[in-house]
Amino acid sequence: MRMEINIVDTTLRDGEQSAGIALGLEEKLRIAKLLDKMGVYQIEAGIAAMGGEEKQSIKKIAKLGLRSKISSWNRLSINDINHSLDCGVDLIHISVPSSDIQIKHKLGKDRDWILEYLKKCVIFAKNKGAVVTIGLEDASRADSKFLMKLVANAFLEGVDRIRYADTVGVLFRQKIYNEIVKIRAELNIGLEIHAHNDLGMAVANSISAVMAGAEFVDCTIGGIGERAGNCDLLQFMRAAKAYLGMYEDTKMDELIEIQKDILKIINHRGKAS
Amino acid sequence: MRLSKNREIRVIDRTIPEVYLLNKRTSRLDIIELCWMLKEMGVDLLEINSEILKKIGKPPAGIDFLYRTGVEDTKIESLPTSIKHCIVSAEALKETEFIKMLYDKKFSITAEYKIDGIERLDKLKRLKNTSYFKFIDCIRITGLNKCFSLNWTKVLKQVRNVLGIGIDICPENNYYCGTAIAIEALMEGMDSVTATFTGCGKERRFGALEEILAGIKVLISSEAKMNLRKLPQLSNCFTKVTGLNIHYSKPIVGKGIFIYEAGIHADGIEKNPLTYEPFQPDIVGQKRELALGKHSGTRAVIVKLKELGIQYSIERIGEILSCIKEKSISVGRSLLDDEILEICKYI
Repeated sequence: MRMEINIVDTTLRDGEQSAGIALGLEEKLRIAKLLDKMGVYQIEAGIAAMGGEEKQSIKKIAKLGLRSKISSWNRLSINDINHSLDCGVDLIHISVPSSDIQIKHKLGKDRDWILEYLKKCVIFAKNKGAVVTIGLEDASRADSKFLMKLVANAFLEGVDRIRYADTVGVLFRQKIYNEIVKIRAELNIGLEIHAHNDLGMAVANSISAVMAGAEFVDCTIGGIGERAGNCDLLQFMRAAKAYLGMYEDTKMDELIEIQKDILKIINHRGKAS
Repeated sequence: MRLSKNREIRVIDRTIPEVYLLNKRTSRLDIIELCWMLKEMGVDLLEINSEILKKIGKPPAGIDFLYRTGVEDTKIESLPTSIKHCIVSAEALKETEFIKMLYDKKFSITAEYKIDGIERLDKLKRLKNTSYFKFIDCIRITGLNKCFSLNWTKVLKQVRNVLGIGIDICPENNYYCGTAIAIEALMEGMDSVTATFTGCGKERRFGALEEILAGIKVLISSEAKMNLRKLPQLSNCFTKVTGLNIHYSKPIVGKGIFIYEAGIHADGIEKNPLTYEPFQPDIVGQKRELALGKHSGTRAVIVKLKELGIQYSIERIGEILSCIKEKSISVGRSLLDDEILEICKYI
C-alpha cells in the first residue's frame, strides 16, 4: 500500500533520539522493512555521522531495495555529509539552524555564516550527485525575512525540498498555514512539515501545513521523539481522513498491526538488563 | 484568569465529573484534593453535578463551581448558596418554567450546544430570536471536531457579535486537535475555555487543560496568572484516583519530556536551554535530566561525569563515550548511573 500524502517517517532518527531508546542494526533493519510495508514515502534512517553501528545500519537499509526512499540526516557539516554519501542513501538531508537563538547560542555564529555555509554544503552535496533536502531547524522561532532568504538561497542552489521544522513545538495552526502559503507563493519547491508535540498540537499543525500546500509530513510511529515527541503517524492519518478526505481506502487495521509490531521491537529493546 | 492588564478569560475545568464517571468509588477527600489543585493552577470554575455534590456534601469555600443541572434534578431547589453558576443542555432550554426558575434564583446560566461543523455553528445566531435567550448568560460550544476550516473563527466571532453574550469553547479531541482549536479560539478573542486534565473523559475526550494553559502562557501571554508548578502532584493524584497512568511523553506532564540524550541537544541545552526547550521545566514543576546512551556526545559525557563526581582525563573521554554507546545499544536504552560508573572503573 502507498500513502496519499508523502509521509517522511523519522522513527529511526528523531524517534530514536527519544531518551531511553537505543536500537541496534538488526532492530533498525526490521523496523525499516515494516515502515516500507506501511507505505511511507521516505524513511529517515538515522545520522550517518554517528558512525559505528548507526552508520552500518543506514548503509544496510539503503541496500535493502525498499520502495520507500532512504535518507540520512546531517548537521551543516561537510564531514557529516561525507558520512551520509558513504551510505548510498537516496536523499541527503541537511539541517540548518535558522533561529537566532540556535545560530548565536548553539553555534556561536551569525546569519551570514549560516547563509555562506548552507551554500557550501549544498554545492558540495549536489556536486557528489546527491538529491538534497534542507531542514530549517527551529523555523517557528526564526525571523521570517531571514527564513525566506534561507529558502530562496537553497532554491537557487538546486535544493529539492525544504523542511519547516517546529523544533521546540511552539507552532500553532494559523501561523504554519500562513508561513507555508507565503513560501509557496514565492517559490515552487517541495515543502515538508516537521512538527513537535510539546504543546499537544503536532497533528493539528501538520494538517494545517498540508492545507496550506505542504506535500510532505514528518511522522513517527507512536509519536515518539524528543521531549513530547513528534506527529504520530496513525493519528495524523485519522485526522487527515476526517479533515481532508484522505485515506478513505486505507486499511487502518493493517497499519495498526504493523505499528504494534514496530513498538514491540522498540519497547522490547528498552528492558533493563 | 488574568492574561494581561487588559484581558481576562475564564478557565473552566470538567475533570471531576469525568474522573467520577471513570471511578465511582472516588472518595470525598480525593475529589476535594483535586478541586484545590485545579484551583491553584488557575482554574476559575470547576464543573460538578448532583452526584458529585452529594459525595462531597458541602462544597469547599473559596472555590467557584459550575453546577450541571437539568429538569430531572431534584437537588436544584436546595443547592448551597455558594453555587452561583449552572450549566444546562440545549434541550433543557425549551423547558421554560425550569429555566425561568434558575433565572429567578439568580444563577448565571450557561447553555451547552454540541456543534461539529461550521454550518451549525453559524445557526447559533438564531438563538437571539428565541424566547429563552434572555435567560442565558453564556453559550458553551462543545464538539467542534470538524472545525478545521480557515473560516471557523470568523463565524465564531460573528456568532459572538450577534448574541452579545459569553462564549465558552469546550472542544472535543476526536481528531487530536482539541488543544489547537481551544488555543485558536482564545487567540481570536474568545473569553472562556473548558477542558479536562490530560483531556480525560469516559465517553468523550477533550482538549487537555494542561496543554491549553501552557499554550496560553507560551503563545498568548507570558504574564498569564497561572501556577503550573504543582502539575506533578496533580498527575499523581489523578493516577491514584483513576488508575490511569500518564504516558511518559505526554505533553506538559509526561515524566520523560525533559530527559534528553542526543548529543546535539545536550550541547545546545548546556549553552542555553531554550535552544531545545519551549519553556523552562520548572514552570511545570519538572527538572531536566541528562541521560547517556547511544546518541550522546563528548560534551554530555563530560557534564555527566562531573555530575557523578568522577575524575577523568580528557584523553579517555572518547573511549568512555564509545563504551557508553556500545553498552546502550546492547541493553537497548540509556544507561543507569551505576552502569556509567562501571564503565569508568573499567577504563
